[in-house]
Amino acid sequence: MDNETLLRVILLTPLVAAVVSAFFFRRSRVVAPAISVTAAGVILFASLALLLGLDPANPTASATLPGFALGGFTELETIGLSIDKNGAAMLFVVTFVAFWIHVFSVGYMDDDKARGRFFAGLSVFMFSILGIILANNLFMTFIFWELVGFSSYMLIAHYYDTDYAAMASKKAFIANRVGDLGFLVGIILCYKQYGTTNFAELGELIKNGEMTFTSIGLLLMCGFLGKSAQFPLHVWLTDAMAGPTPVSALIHAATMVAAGVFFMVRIFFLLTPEVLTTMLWLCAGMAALGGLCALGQTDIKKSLAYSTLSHLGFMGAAIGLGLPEIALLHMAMHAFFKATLFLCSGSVIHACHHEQDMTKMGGLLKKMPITAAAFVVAGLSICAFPWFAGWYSKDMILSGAYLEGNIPAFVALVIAAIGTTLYTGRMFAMVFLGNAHGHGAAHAKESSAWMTLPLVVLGVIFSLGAGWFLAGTNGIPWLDGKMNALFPASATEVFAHGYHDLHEKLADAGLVAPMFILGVVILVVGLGLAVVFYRTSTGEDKLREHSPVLYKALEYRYMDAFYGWYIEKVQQRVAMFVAMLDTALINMLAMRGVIGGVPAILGSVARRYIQNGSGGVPVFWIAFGALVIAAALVCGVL
Amino acid sequence: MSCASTLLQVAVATPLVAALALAFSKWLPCGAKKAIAGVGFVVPVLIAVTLLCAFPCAEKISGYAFYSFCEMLGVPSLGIWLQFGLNGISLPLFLMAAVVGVAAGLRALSTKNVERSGLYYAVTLVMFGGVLGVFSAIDVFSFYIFHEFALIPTFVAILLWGGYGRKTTAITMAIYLTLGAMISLAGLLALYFAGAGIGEYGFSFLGIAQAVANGMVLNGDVSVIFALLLFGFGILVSLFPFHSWAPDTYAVAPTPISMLHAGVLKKFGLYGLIQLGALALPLGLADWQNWIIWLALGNIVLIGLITMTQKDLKQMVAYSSVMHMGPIFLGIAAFAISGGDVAGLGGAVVLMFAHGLSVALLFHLGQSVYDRTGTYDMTKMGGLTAKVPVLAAFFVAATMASIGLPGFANFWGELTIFTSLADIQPAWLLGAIVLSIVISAIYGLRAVAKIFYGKNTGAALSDEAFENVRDITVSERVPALILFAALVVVGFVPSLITKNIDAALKADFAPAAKVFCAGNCGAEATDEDIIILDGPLPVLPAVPADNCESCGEGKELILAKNITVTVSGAVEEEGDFVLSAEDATLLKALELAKADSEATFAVVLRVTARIPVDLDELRNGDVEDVPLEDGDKISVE
Amino acid sequence: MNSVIEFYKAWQPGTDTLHMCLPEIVLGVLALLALVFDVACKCCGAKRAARGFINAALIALVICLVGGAFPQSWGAEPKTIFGYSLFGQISTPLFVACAFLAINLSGIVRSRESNSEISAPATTHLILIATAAASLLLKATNFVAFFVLLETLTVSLYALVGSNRNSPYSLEAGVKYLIAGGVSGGLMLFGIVLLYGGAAMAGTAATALADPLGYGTIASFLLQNPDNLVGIVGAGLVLAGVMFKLGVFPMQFWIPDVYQGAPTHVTFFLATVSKATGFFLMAILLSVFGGIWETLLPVLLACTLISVVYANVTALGQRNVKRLLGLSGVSHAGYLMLGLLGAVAVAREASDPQWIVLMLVLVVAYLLVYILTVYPIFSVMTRMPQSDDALQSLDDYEGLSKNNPLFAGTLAFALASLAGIPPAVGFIAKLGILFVLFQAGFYGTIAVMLVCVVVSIYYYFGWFRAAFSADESGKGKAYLPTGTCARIVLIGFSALMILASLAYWDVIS
Repeated sequence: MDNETLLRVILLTPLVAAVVSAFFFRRSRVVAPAISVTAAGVILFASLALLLGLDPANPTASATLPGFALGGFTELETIGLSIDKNGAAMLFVVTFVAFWIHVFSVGYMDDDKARGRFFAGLSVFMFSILGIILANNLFMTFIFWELVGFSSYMLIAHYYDTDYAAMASKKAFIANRVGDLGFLVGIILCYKQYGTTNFAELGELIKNGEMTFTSIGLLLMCGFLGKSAQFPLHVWLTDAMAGPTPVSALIHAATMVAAGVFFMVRIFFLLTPEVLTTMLWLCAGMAALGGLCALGQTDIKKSLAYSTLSHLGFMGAAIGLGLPEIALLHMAMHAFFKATLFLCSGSVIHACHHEQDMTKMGGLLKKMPITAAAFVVAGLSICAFPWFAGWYSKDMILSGAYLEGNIPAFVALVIAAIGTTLYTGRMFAMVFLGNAHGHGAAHAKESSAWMTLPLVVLGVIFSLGAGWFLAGTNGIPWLDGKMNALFPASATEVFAHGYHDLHEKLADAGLVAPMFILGVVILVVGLGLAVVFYRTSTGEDKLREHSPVLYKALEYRYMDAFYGWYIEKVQQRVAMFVAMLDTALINMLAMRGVIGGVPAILGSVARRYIQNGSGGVPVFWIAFGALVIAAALVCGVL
Repeated sequence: MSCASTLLQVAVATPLVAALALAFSKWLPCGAKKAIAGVGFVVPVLIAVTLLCAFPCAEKISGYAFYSFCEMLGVPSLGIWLQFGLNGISLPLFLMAAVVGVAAGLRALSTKNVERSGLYYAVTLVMFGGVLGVFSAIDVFSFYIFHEFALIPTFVAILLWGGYGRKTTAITMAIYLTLGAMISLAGLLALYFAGAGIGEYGFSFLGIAQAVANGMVLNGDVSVIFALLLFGFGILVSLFPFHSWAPDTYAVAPTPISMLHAGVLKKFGLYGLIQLGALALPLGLADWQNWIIWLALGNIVLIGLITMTQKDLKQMVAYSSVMHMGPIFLGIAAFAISGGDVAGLGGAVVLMFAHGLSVALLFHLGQSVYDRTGTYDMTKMGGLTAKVPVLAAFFVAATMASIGLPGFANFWGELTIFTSLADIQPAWLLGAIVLSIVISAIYGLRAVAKIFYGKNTGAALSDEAFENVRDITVSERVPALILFAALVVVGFVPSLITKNIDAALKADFAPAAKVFCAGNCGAEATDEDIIILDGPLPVLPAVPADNCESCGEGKELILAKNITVTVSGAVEEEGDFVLSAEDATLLKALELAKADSEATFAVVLRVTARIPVDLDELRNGDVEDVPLEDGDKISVE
Repeated sequence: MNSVIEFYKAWQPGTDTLHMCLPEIVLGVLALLALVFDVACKCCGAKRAARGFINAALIALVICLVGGAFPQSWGAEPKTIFGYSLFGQISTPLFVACAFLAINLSGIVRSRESNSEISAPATTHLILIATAAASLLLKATNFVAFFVLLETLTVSLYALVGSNRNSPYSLEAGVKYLIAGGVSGGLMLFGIVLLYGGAAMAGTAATALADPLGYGTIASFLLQNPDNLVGIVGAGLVLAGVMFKLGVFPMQFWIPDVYQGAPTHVTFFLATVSKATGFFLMAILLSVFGGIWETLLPVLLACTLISVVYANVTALGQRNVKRLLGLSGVSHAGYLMLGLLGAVAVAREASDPQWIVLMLVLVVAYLLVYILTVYPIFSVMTRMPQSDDALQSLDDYEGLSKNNPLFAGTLAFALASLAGIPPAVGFIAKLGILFVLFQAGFYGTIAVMLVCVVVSIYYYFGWFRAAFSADESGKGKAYLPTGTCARIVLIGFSALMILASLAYWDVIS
């Protein structure tokens, strides 16, 4: 099959699967998951077939679908699907991780009664995320941007009968919509400015001298802030944990939030230096904040959510530093090990009968060996243990920041790195070491094969080895080139290229060794401190016991409180005032006044003076009237 | 009159005839009444669908297909007689009216315990007939009279079957809408007396379109006429300061009536503004565009805020339908803002089509929620999804459609309008306008969360009452399915309706577009008053520059005429081409159609003559070029 | 002085003047017959037969008039007192039809016990005399005939208004109408005298001597010297008298009281025949006083606008049905006057006669539609259950739609047409008036008229709402029995409301 049909197959299969399972198999327990998983499988094979077919140097393919045109607005006349080198990488990562998460969720959702709706939702999400990857112009990206927001809304609200899920889904969608507002305005201004929103054409325009504008760059960044939950709009991600864990893993860790980073990398050529610096500050700050606040959460998923925030901050900082390839590399790595961490937490939660509070867990190392092993590997990878997946990308960003000479950013990223090691160690200690504190944890046993297989594949193989392939294996003599067959070269080319450029720069600056040592130091200090401090966890969070003030600070409800205050006090008050104004001024005064008031007054005047029934009045008025006419006629006054 | 145009007349007549039959049906059994009413509701939608399919190949008189007229109803000497027809713009709206009508009809048929049901069906049918007439009558006065025809049943329905506080609402609405009707009547009369009524088709959209095409310039005060139309239609369409009748009316009126009124009848004013305001009075639109922008902004932001405070579901849906009028008005104003680009108008028509469907669906589902919980107060409900999953699915879909999620028709309309507003001055206005997607998301999702998600608050439904709530019945599901299907089909394949709209807009509004570009005298004003437009469209500032001296006041503006020519045979691009009358020659037409070089022979077919031309001689210039006229057919061998 | 005597000596009633007055003569004979029948036939059977005869005769007269049975000699040199006016053909059958309907209504009104005092023959007699006077008035070409006939019409109306002896309201209304009529009659006479004096003083052409008070002389007098003070004042006062009849601003204060007091059939007669006479007279006089048109127009326009606004606004507060109808009659008279002024303004500039006729026909059509719409309302009012006619208020209409749907339907259609809601014929008539005003270029007047129409919606809708609202009081209503033919008439009229709008334009052109 040529690339064109492949692209169409990739995009439309999940949509068909969603429609079929939503309309026909909503009740069934087996058919809906089966359809959804096969759809994910088909997408994975189709994308592998596509990527293997492309030549690594310049991987491009495109296809068109019929669109519509109205007057001067012909941008969506034909809906174009296209792949470039960034797209290939993102496609591979997304389809791979998504497939395994689909497999995992079959096991995780076995006791859920609304499986049809869940898997339909997952398929709609796949359709939207693939749309973002394959879109070739800004309008298409915006369309699928909204659809992704909608599918995350539906999936967060999967447990619709809990008030928390209802609030969380509404909050997520509205926060995304606020981001989309700026994003749409940015797209329209860009369309007006350049006359086109096609990425390839924009690239050419910018290449031969077209001006780039900070305002457009900042507005497009709004989309990124909304979708990847960066500083002003980050409140929704932690509440999005109300959804089932596979949803958190797929959407709120690996793919959707990463779509924002992918988009910024794709329009990197549009971003002016001012935009990059603002992005750097926002994201580096978020990285540090996320890293620390993860310590202040007892809910395992919330803690992981803050860790995602911090790593997204890392990726944003990488873009801010001018290293888009490294950001993409870190996004890929992060997708693998963060998905694994979420799946491990899912497996743990499932085993402890939906218990999400870490203080109630403990001593699961012996009870759940495979999950524990996957957790260890993914944990080391996130903490950038040398030669693990995380090390390749995270340390690169740290050294990139140092190379850039941007000390405050470097310091923030180092704090974030330390934070990462601390919370990973804390999580491992509280969940797997010590003895069981909760009823569920006591009887936990290893999850079914459905859940452990993805853990093994994503956790052990990819969190460990992904770095070697994606960053290019020529660094390690005995693996040189042998494993490349497993990965589509066109996907890994972009990472290898970026990684080696930065590596050479570091080598000439002689920074390779000191950075390596710095990484190891952070790792040892962080992990050791965490494991020792939290090892003897006693069913109550150690940090809260020792210093409740620090814990309260790290729990970080400030932004939520601020937004809550704004919604309740400011927005609601203004709306009430406007409503009162509308009913009072326009309705009562204008309408009732004119209808009721004026005639009443005139009626009473008439009744008292003119129509009061006495015989004389009409005669007086008639005579008076006649004389008035005569006078007017005479002096021709009118 | 071809069979299709009689079909159009049948579509408009069926509901009225059915209403007449029902009006005298005291003794008919209930079943027969429902049957007659059912026929009255279903037939038009079938005809509408057939017309949609037959539209591309129907023969058109300058864009209007299925043209038919009857001289008897009207005064031919004054240029006023009843004419029916559909063009690219009115076809989708006619289809939407039919679809919403059948849904409202089925909802009316399925409402239990309504006293005097025969009359109830008759009133809904009359309104449905009036509404269909509005979009199919192209003669301006019958267009106006059909609107009033549809307005009377609203009064009667509110009085007889209205909800709480119906007396005061009926009065306020009567006053407001008659004021609006009177002002727009004054505007129409002024337009008529400004010379728009002459011509072979009299005072109709078709006549005006042709008059504008061959450069008719109105001899009345264009901006005053446009002001009358704008504020007259503004009141009828609940533009910002005149909107206070709309929410009360829709909340009080019975559901089928508010479905038809909010969904379809309100589009009368906007449709009139596009067909008359933007087409015949472009300069008026340019003068008043700032007013439209600021009032529509009031619609979006202020009414948006009010919608957020609503506790009552029906009030909220009513206010949201008032808010959605804002973007449509901006779409019309965008025609002037973007200096003649018809994308805004196209977006407005698509949004009108989609909004009609989505607001009707919301009212329909709101009624189903009321039937189950006994109240419209959202704060008293909660957790209904457990009991009514299908209703919840439809409601979420309807809310998503109304807040403009891609995959539904509303999104395409809103996107095109926002894009066409790019050149708005001052620039922050674009942000304020696009804010509407956030505001609508807030109140939409708040409603869904309060009604369907979370726990049952027990205020409206005690726990055991909550247990025996049943999901929506078939008679409620069918209308919802019809509306939902229409929204999704157009959502995924917008070209179904946009192809016709685009063709109609490009053909009819080209001359009007030129006025905007020439109006702000970007092009150098040639002294002999004919302004030919060439080069890219200069940007028209939202605040129109004061009449610059070169082509400003006092100068008689004659527009360049344009003709359409159809080329067929041995050419790469067949079909018809638009040429400006001055330099329309055979050579130009052939080069436009990219005739291949070795074609030797061409024939120009014209009603009056048939001119064979040898292309080789023509090319090497020893035969002078053949001037073309409107409607010529060239075949190349 | 002697010129007047010669004039009377010269005037011999030639045969053509008799031809012209034939319909009026027939009416006079019928009026006398009504009295004779009352005296002659004792038992009620004979009385009913007599009444039947008179009704049949009236219908026959209407048919002959419409059919053109009476000799119409156009172009006869109107040297005598009577000549043919433009409206002669339309006005006489209209008046006779209204008289017939009034007599018919009086039958129903009298069947109510509180109105038993109204004597049948007297009412019929007076109505027929008044109709004869009214139709003859329009044929008059001389101010003497003009004054005499106008006074006969007004005097017979005095008697009619006060005919219900045992109801205080009727007597009070009669006295008020007498005073108002007397004053305006006096002013008008003073005006005529001024005109006569002015014309004589100015000493215009010889014809003045032959026919000092003829329309022709006065018209030529005003034409020659338009700024003559005496002429202007005289014309103004005469117009004031006519405005009293039509009910326009300075002269309309008596209308609500008299409409409320008079028995319902007399109110109907006042609202239709008296108003129509006023309208046609105004048209004739405007052509007679053509000379001073520039000074007259602004004054008349101002008076009419004030009257329309005054009538609409005071009607808003009204609860009594008959006063409401009176004020709505004033506002409709105002619209008629506006249409008339517009038509005359167009007629003065426009050249082709066909266009002028169209303008005038449009305005007269509005009058016809007004009368057509008022009759069903009055017939429903007469059959309402309340005790005394004068005190009928909107509350008596509660729950009409449930208790008596036929009445509610007719009332709904008639009110819609009166208010000018589009599908009804009233709207098309108003559209005609708007059309005329647009042609005449009175844009300000159009704006005021539109606003007043919107305001009028309130009180018409108030009535409509009362009729259609649920009957809280819940007591059963005792409506007067309505015969089958009355039902058919009502249904016919309401159907006419809608169908007429379709055929309106064809009838016009």
